[in-house]
Amino acid sequence: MIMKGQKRKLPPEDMEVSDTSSLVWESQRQFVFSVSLNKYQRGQELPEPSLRRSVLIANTLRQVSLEACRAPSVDGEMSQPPCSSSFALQETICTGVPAGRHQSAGMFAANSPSALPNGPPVPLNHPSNCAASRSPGNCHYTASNDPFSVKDEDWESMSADPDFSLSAAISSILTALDSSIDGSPQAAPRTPLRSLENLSGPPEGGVAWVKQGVRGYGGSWGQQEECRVRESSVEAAYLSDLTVEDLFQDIDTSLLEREMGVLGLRGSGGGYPTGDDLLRYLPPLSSSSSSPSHPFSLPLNQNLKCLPSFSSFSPLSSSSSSSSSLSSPPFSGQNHVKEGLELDHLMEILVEA
Amino acid sequence: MGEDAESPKINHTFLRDYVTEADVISTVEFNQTGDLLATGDKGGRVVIFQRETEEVGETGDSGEYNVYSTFQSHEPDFDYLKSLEIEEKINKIRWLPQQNAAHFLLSTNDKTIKLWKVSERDKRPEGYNLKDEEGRLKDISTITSLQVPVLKPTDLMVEVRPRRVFSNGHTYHVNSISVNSDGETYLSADDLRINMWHLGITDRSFNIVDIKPANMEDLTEVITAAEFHPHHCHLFVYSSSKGTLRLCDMRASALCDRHTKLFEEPEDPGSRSFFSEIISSVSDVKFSHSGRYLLTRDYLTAKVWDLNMDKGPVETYQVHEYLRSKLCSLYENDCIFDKFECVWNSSDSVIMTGAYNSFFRMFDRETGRGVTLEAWRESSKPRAVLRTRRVYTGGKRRRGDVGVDSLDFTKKILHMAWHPSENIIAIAATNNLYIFQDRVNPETQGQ
Repeated sequence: MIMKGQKRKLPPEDMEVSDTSSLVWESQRQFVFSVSLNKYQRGQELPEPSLRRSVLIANTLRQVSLEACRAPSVDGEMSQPPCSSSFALQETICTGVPAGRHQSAGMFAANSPSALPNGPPVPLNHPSNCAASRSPGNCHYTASNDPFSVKDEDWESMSADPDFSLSAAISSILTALDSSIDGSPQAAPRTPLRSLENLSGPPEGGVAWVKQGVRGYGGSWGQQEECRVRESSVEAAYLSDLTVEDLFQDIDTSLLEREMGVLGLRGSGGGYPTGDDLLRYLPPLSSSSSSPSHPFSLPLNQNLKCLPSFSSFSPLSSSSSSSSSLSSPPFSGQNHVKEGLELDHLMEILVEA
Repeated sequence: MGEDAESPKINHTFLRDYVTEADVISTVEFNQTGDLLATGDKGGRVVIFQRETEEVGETGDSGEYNVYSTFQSHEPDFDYLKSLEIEEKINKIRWLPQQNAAHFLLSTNDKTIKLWKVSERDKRPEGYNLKDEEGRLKDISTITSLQVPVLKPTDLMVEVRPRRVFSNGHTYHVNSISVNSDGETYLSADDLRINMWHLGITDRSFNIVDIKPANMEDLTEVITAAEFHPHHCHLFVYSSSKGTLRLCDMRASALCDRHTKLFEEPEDPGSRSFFSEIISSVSDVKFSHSGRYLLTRDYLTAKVWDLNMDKGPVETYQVHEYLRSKLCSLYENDCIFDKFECVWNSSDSVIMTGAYNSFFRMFDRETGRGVTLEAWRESSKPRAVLRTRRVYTGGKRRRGDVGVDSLDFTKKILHMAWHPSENIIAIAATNNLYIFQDRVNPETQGQ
């Protein structure tokens, strides 16, 4: 339909799915989300992106995230923290990832290098990967010989401890992102929504954006993760060959920079967030402090005690080069131990895969 | 020569299909009398067509439009402060009301508006005392008598000169310009601000609308189009990306951030989708000639609003409703961001707007009926009557119907203009300009 001669195999979009609890709606929502993300980032790469286009895409992203927050979970297990428009994307951490997909996210985090090449922005892979089956819902269904090729309803039964592995993996990735900021080659691009006139903060704004990305996009990013990574898992049969450090190298921080810029997740309002802001919004590092259900369903304040201390993190300093992201993270002592445990667990997951 | 024998074998068909990006027409506008038609393209050029003042033939055909003048209005520029290129694409052209023999038009790209004077010269003075025919100074000692220079007719020359350059007024991309009915001022609108200029003053402008938030992260809405009222010099309207129209009265305050009237249609919860906001974004707004109505175009519909009623449009026309179920794909391929223009006819009884596949649609306001026409070179011989087309959306399929999946989304009719007093329309289709006129023929009337 788009170009003459090219056939598309989208699922019948004719049905306007307004039922927010259905799988089709959810898959459509995810599809729109990923496409919007992709578009926004590609727009950012342009020297001067169209403001109208960027605003429309950003609003769509925001709306899609809000819808995810409002929609009941697929399996009905998740609790719903209060949503507010200013923390639209924050909610995706809490509720964006349905329970049934937790375990996959944890496992698939390990596959991140193939899904997250250094060069082009990450989501470029996603539509093409998902396009293989031409269905957003089909992101989760891969080749039959894929060990991870299971239906949604089977996922819960698969994992012994889905919540822990999910939170561990995702939080590890998030912390690695923080420390790999210096490895990011490009400076924060000028977004249309942040014109030069608006610049009042310190020049480490770009870095702060990455932090915001960490804060705001953990869950939703994980959600996208599972989609992309699932596709890549078909090819990545050599998980054991990858070191954990390699995995975290390739995470494209520019992805999160740009997201945060447009979506304006600056909870402190104007200026750049401090480490405390980040503290509030990151998911817990261990499941011990989380309820048996989905760890992201915790109210925000419960996350505080579990988080590493970012206040000591200096964005401009090369406190951690990307290669030593795991060896010398700027965290407080007690979290070192926790992180070590989680890394071990992550290694276990890799080995299992 | 040997090469000549081979040259006829070279296949040049590919050249016909190749469209130079710079030739893509980006705006079309008739002047107030309709004798002149100006087009702007992506390469920064303006081409003015003039209607031949032939005698009206027996079929009722009026004169044709021929090229009158071509000039380079804007050049590619560079913003050194922000390290950004400024496109030379002409976004809008507006003619000024004619006051003397010369014609004036405003043309704008993303940042700079220029006032051009288009004048004819068909005489030149001859017989100077101090200069000879070639312009060289004469030797004074050879002058024995004085003569009065006389004007002699020469070949017609059309001169186009820039008379004003209105620069540095906009941080964002200019999307609209509109000449005020007072004949002295005009407005220019970018994504976040609207400025009012005096035609004679280039170093200053008044900012009359500013929707830029203090923190750009809070930005959720941009200005998409703006226009002055055709009769009331204090009224103007601007549309937004959220589908709202705001009528502002400049007598109320200097800065018209607070609208006098807000026109917004309540959202239909039944048809809500992820793309509701994007498709509600108004891409063009036009006052009717009477000044009583507003015509707006969003992605799927064209709406007529009564200035006296702000609760919702009085008429809604479905331009291509069959695309509603394809919004996902259209979002993915960016077609959903296309900005279609819309126009009134001279009597405000018909509205017209563009669509895909080189189709454009006309709606008769009295009957509510719409017709689909196609702007395509191959099927249009000169003087051929435009065939009505149909997009097949179900039911009995007729011959010639086009399926939704067969539509060519690269052939979009975005820019168009309607003659101010006659039924002559100018349609821009990529790099081609089509000019159609209504034959005084009972069979084609009413279509």
